[in-house]
Amino acid sequence: MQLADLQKSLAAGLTGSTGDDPDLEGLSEDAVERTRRALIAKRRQAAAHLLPRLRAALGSVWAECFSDHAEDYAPCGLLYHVDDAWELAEAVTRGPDRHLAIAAHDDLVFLRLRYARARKSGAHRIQERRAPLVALVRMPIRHLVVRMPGSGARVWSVRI
Amino acid sequence: MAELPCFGAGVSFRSAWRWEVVRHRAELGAVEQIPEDVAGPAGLRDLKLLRTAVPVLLHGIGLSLGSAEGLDPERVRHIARVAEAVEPPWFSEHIAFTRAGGVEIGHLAPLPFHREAVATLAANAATLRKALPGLPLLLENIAYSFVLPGATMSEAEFVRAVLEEADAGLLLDLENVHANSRNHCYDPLEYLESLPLERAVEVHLAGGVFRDGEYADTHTRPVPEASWALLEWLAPRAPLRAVIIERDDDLPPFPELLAEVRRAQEILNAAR
Repeated sequence: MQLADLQKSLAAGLTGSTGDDPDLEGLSEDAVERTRRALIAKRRQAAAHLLPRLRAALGSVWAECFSDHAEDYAPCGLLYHVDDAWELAEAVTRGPDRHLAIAAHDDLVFLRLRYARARKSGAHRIQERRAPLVALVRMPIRHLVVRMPGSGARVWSVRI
Repeated sequence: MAELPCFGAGVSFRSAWRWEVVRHRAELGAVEQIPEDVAGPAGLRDLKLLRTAVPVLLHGIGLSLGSAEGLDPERVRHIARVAEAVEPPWFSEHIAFTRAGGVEIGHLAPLPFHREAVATLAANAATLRKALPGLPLLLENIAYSFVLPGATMSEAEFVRAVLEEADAGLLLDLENVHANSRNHCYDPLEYLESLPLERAVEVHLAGGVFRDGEYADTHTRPVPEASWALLEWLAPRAPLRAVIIERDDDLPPFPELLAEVRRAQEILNAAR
């Protein structure tokens, strides 16, 4: 098998990114599956740091929720884990559970204070934020966060 | 590689340790920054400020130097921008691929140990060099869970061939050697003896865990004694310029990390 084909098959096998069965002849299925699980665990750990409120709100079902997300979404870019966490949080804000949606929204606000996310995938999908931002955060207490425009701009937090 | 400066022992930079790094700068030979984590002008400003306190090394994780489809020009430009701001003594990346067919794996995947993979990585390294003129390139051995089919050489022969064809120095991750030797049942010293140690410039040390029946290089634990023993063996045999203690998660109190830095520095000093 040519190197390019082997790499495409392995990338698909490790991320579950295609509906087709990747051609991984000659590879230990156990080893590939073990690596795939380790990759999801690594993504989950990174997301837990970036989404602490959602992680806490989900409690014991966090791992299951993240696995469902990881099966469906292939993150991208230099800040791969930020893109991953952002996608999950956005999906939860659109969900039916209000408590989870608030937790995800609040985590998203803190990501948005630092980063902006482009619609188009690519290396720079997640970039440093330069635009201003005003947002309401509800957890653990209601407060308004205000970010001034510019690179590395100041952020104020006002309890309301 | 003979003219490269010597830094001694240091740590991988994590923003949670920003102030500790500055406070303990006299005890750190260098810190290592992942350029992919530097987002935009504010990140570059912070890095330039850090550089005034302690030397900064740059260590890439997502260029995918082993990709048959070539390098992503946007990523190469990003690395070049960060390197221009930091002026590091060298740039390091992995002997691995992380991207294929438009899919990002999010992890360092191994290359098959054969000639096509050697040529591919060398060609990509040549492309990278054009964006980083004059900057020495180091390539790092990775930890892998499986060997890809089609191998025509051993891992050590493969690493040697890659370094020679890419004309690169070696960033020797001793924890990866430790992990691979356990998981693939080989003698780590025999492996090290097979490498071109005269090219070894930098060492990485970290700690992992047993998971799913294998030793995983998680960068979440203190450096195990087995890896310290490999550094003690290596230090008198290679012209090392830097040893970096890596921690990605479960970050310990900084003094614990400093103790590991001191131990690495003592080993380097004893070998000189």
